[in-house]
Amino acid sequence: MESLSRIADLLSCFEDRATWSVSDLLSRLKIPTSTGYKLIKALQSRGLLINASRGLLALGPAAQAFFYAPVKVVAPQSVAPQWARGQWPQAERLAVSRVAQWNNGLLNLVSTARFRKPPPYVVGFANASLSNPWRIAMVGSLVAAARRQRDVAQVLVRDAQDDAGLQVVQLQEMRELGIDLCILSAAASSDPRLDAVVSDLAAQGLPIIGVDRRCGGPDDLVSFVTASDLVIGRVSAIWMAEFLGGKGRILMLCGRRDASPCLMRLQAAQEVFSLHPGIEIVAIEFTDWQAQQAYGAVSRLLASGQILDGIWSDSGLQSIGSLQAFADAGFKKGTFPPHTGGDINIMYKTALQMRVPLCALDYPAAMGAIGFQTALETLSGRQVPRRVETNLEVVVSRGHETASVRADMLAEEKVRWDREDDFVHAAGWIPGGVRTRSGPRLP
Amino acid sequence: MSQASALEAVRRFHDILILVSHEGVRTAYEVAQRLDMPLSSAYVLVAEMERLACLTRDESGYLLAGTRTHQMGLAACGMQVPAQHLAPLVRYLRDHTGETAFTARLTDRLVVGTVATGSSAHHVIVQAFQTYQLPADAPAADSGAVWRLTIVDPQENGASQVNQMHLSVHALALAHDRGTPPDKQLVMAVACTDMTDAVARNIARRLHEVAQFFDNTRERQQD
Repeated sequence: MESLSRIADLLSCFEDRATWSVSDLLSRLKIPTSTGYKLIKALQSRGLLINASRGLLALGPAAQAFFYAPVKVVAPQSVAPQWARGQWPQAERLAVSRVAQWNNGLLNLVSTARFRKPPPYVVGFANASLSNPWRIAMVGSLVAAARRQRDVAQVLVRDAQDDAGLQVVQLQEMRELGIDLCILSAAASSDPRLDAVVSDLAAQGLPIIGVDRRCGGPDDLVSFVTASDLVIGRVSAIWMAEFLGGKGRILMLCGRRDASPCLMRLQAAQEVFSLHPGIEIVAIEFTDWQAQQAYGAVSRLLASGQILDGIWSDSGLQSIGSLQAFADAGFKKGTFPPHTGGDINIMYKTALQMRVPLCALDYPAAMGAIGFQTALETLSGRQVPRRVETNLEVVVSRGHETASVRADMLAEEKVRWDREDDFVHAAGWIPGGVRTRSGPRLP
Repeated sequence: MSQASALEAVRRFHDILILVSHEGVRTAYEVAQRLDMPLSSAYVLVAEMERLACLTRDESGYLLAGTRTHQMGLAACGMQVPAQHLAPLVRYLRDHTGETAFTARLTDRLVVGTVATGSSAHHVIVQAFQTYQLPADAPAADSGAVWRLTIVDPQENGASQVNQMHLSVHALALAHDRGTPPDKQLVMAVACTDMTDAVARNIARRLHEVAQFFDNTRERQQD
């Protein structure tokens, strides 16, 4: 496998210098001359390198083609535009954009040369909790990515059970066990003890990669892997407001009040709803991303005679509990109010079976694997972005798109009828899949 | 190392990158089948290329060319641009306009790179590697200015769903080839089929915004 590493190194040398003499190139990379000449000849035979001039090498046309390689694979399902599906005979333009602002962190690259070290690596993953199927899938994606790597001797995974104090202890324990890098999904976004230990570890030179939930100071994390919580909150709220024609009584079902994704989604959604004077927020309920808590909150409101025209939820993890509550309250197929939140397969199955208007933006559980990839790049000393945002797809049930919110994929295309109810979408490649501990029931 | 083993190593490295750039594959088994190589070799090669950041995976687990590979491609095109910058900028353009946004290399042709497919009623399907011949009367691409192209037919047949329509492309140069003649450019572009003046103004504004984000970051990093 050393040859692959040398091939990559040979080609990467041209990033900061257009031409190299063979001797300089091999000398810089410390590749034995005989081996180097053979590899260069092989690279020339494939058009990856060419003789530029006067004995100098340059990247060839086959290497140029790498520029065009897609960063997102074309989905195997048909992603035909709306007009091709014949759904929008009257062409319309988007009324409101999906994003409100630019985040400079996306373009800021962090040098990780100081963290470079030779393998094997011991990586610690301080996970906030395993309290719902999404979190289990996220850990699954991270562990699956780690298992594919021979350079990783060990991955220490700790579950803080949403307890910041416990996570402090676990971080200190992992440090004592000699981890080379810590991947952190914070148990709380603003706990002083946790912030202090994270800052302390960073100051000691331990590279920390944040995933999903962040904490600590702005420079404590080398990189933060997430998806745009602002887009999730904003787009789902725009859809709800437009679907209801700008007026109606909405219940907001949020995750945890101490988790950064929850707070950002809530704030973004509230900003949208505040622009619609006809929208009344009946209540804001924090559910800890638990279906049972959402079930209780919706059941209580329905029992008290409240009329709910829409349920805005920051994730499908709790939305499914809301659907259950409506079903148990006697709502029939086709009479459920619109809901937001996807992520989990049963949400799509139920919404389609009960004909619930749905808008979902799956928060990719694959950010566990992407966080691990960022960790590997950090330990290899390659530049990484200060902030990595995974892709979000807007999923809407057929016939329920609005002026501003069109589907990247219809819910009917997204649902996996062949997969289990607790299958988590966008969880990357996990050989054999992940079994979660308990699946919510269908209404 | 023999010459034969060097050739074999380069062939497999290159073939895997070509495969993942054109087809959706997730497993070493699929790689082994498509490239007719032993499963054990495919497994080790894929894992090693992931480790080297030559391969990566998307949110659905599909293998893709990695950051390092894209950086090689940019270098080969003469562009000193961080590969990590392109996807966020393209996504921002798409999310603000609703239209299909992409990077492209502009020479005497327009060749598409990173794409974010639009969500508007008008959005068109543009795919990586798609090549467009520029019209004979194409306006010159002024540095720092948004310019507009109307393209009728892609030059190549592959995956063309825009054959029968006029594709209006607004583009803005982000970087030039580091060689002396500035006739090769990295552009950010937004395409749609029916460009009203209001839409065109919005797209031009957003293109200028991303160019500003890009330039500001470059200046900060040079400081």
